[in-house]
Amino acid sequence: MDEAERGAAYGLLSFFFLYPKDKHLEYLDAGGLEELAGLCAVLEVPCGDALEGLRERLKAGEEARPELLLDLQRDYTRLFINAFPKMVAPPYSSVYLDGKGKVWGESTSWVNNLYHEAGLEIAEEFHNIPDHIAAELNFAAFLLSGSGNEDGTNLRLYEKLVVEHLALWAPPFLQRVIEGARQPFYALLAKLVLRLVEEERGRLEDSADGR
Amino acid sequence: MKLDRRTFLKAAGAGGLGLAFPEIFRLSTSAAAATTGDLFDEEKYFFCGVCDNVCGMIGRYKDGRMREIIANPADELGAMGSICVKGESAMNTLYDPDRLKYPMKRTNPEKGIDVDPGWVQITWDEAFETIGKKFKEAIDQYGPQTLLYIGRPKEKEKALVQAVGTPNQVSHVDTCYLTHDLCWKVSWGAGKSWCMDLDKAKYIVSFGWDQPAKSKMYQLKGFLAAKENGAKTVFFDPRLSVTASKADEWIPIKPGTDLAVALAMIYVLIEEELYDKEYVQQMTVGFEQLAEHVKKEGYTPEWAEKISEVPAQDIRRIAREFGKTRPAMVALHKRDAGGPNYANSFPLSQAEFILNALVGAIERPGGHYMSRMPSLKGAEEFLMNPEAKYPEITEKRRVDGHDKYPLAVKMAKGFAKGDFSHLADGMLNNPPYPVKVGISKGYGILAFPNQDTIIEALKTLDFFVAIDILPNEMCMLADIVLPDEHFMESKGYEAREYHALWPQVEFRDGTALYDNKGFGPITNGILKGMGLGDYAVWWDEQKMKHFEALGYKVECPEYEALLGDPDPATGERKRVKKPDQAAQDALKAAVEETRKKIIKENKGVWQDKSKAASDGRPKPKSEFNTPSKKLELFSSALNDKGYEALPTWHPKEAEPDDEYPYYFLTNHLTWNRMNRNANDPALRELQPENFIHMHPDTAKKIGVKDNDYAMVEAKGVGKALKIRVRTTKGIRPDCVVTEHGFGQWSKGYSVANKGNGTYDGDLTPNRKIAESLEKFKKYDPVQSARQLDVCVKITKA
Ligand code: SF4
Repeated sequence: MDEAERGAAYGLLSFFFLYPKDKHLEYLDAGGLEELAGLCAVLEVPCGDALEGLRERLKAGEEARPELLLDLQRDYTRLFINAFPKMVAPPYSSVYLDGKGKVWGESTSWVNNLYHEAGLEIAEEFHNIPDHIAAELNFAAFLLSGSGNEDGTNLRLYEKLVVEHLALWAPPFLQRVIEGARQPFYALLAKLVLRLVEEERGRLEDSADGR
Repeated sequence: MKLDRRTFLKAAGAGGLGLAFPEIFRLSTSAAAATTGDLFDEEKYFFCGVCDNVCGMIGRYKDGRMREIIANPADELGAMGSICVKGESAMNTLYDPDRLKYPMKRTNPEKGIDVDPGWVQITWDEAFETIGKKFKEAIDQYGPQTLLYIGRPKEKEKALVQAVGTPNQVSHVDTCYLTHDLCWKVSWGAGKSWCMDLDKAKYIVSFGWDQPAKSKMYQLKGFLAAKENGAKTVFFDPRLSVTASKADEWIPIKPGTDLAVALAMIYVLIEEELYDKEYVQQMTVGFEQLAEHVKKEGYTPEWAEKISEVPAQDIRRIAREFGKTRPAMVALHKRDAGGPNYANSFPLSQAEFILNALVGAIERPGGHYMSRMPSLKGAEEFLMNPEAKYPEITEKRRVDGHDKYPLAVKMAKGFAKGDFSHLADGMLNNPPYPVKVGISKGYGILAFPNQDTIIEALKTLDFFVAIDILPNEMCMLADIVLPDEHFMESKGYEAREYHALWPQVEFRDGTALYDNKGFGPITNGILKGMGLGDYAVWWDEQKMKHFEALGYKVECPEYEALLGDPDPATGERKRVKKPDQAAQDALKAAVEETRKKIIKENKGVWQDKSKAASDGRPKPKSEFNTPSKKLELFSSALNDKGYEALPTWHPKEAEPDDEYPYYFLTNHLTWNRMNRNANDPALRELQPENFIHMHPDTAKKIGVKDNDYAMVEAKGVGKALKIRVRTTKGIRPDCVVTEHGFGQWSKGYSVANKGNGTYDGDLTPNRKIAESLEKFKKYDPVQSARQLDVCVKITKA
């Protein structure tokens, strides 16, 4: 994959780590499923029947959509927001990295500062903590998108993000998702992010060694 | 599906999702937050929301994260230089991943302990719309009384209840301070004593007061200062509380008999003429009746000894010391023996008031003062539509039966504060009308005595909303859960009530971490959802008036345009028009600017020290809001409503027998606060479960030793709790005590969801409205909750 493709991969994954809404179903229906399937192929992650299952349900027509959306929302809520019996996988770096299991830890400040370095900050509408997985993946997408990157700053920030941060907390977090998801879709997303981040870490570390 | 890498790469090339999403990021408005070497790069003001001492605080931030909280030095009345462990732990709660973050609805209609609600996140719009619709449907069918509101009797809460027009606002106060509150209201014309001038007192007597050990800062510091200043402290308590352990004398009185000792002290003060004659003559009424009463009833120390097991000579000696040392006071607070604990708590509270009045300890240095609060206007004056008036509440009957206590209703100005102890009975057994929908704010199930019955009662609601900061037990029963602001996310302000020696308004300056909302916007959202938008409160207008009362003018021409002509008499201009969105936005911005200014200029604490005398004490009142304008030793308000006007001995309700031989007591740990911080692992580690503390002789008799488990069963309750044993010589052998604040079962918590010990309220009898009414018709105008009026049996588990 080249930079743009990697950026697109992060963008796609980030999108689906946001709370599922109609627009997600629409996107899946309008080619998103194929994109995901393609990404599975690129990353050599077997997609099992997660996508096929979704396609079936999307095909079932408009009336079946609310139920599908509700299933995704129910799983998203219990995985990442609040649940019974306890949230499966808090989607925040600090919970995994900062030792105290709290949100807004040192690592949150760290990544938040990185956003600032790239000229971004968390929008008010996000209503969430800066180190939320969707934000970090989206940030990676932004850094690789080519804009404002003439001097290579963004690529340097990207390397930092992946090697010093994302690759440290994403694996334990995603493992919880893979094990705890009831919707195969979320387990698949987690596997994709896991593979992407691990590959990227390997690649970036290799190139750093080369340097 | 035919898949290959080209499909993805082709799509990726289109670049649809490769950029920063506007719903996550925006372009940075400030320069890159350069990390400085300083420990902190920002400070924000708060006041604590964990307990009512509302200590002023400063949160110190580094890179956007609060790193520590310290006391705000500007708050000389509450924090007085330091905050307690509960206040410090608030930061852990703020950053607890289990926090409620977004509105959620349950998708599983079945409710109960161990039932997964199947939550899904919803938007605020959907939440308000659904709640509004459900409430409205129920009200259209059954009338406004069908709405049950469980929440504190505060202003934002009342705004909702009054707009809807339901009589059913129910708060925990009957299990907390209502006995003292009502007793002091009839006796001195204001709520209970909120300001104790402890450090100036030279002699302090208490009947179970243990607040210094609950780390209420002003009481802890006041008590320690009093000791430092040489005050003598005498504590009547069946167990050696932490505060009692620091006292000069601990007198292990028999539970529920404090009233006898207090009456005997009054007897001695009068018999030996040790009371402050001048003060009594000038400031009180009813002394003659009181003197005759205690004499006629024969409340001698010898009589009290038989009841309380406190030697008559000690009672006499303490009464003499109390009468001869000035200033002397009886310290009291909430959950002491005069609180909601025994069948005779109300007359005890009255006897405590009288003891204070007899030695001139009211509105005098070293005694009890009324709160000096600034007067800030209520929400009802700021409805969106200036022509809207709250509907009259025509249905006076309340589901908790509290309307049957005329004095409580009268003293609460029509809004009785309600009754947790009798709510379940009222809902389950012949309610006066159908109660079909409900909303609860900031209360857990474990705030109620006897959780089984309240769970059963709440399950009878067709639709129920819970508002909180953590997914506690109440949320588990709700159809919709709304995420409240943690106090460190709020931008609110509050007038100090505790220890308000002079008027003080404290400010908070937080920001929500997620999509949390305070109760002001929630009230308005629900009202709009119900089609009652005219009753929404224009909170910014209220803030503007409040800020003006503090001496800060809010400049806003768009607001001026909504005002009518000046009133010829007063010159005042009232708003006559509903604000449009532009006016609302303009006022919001203007108010916000003023808010920041006030915070900055006053370091988070606005105060008016000119209201205090030169020694920092309030200028004493000599007139009171009672029918006689004096302190009423003989209460005309009680008399008028047919209650005993003078404190009269009545025994507590439950006495030990062969089968249930032990008195049951409860206690709060210093660091626990009403289950609120139960999910903080740091606090949990301090003590993971509650204990049943007993005297070593008692343990021997039962056949248990330290760390064994014992089964504790209360008479007439039918539930046995398994609690670990701790022995201590600091308790009467006929009593046992366990700690409140344990036994959480909400599976929404990751920490406090199992192995948290037991919930003491499971041993509190389920109180019945009709029975309480009959029992207390003569001497308790608030149907005492009698939380500790129960005996238990204990066996080895
Ligand atoms: S005493 Fe403790 S819990 Fe109470 S307001 Fe002060 S800091 Fe908060």
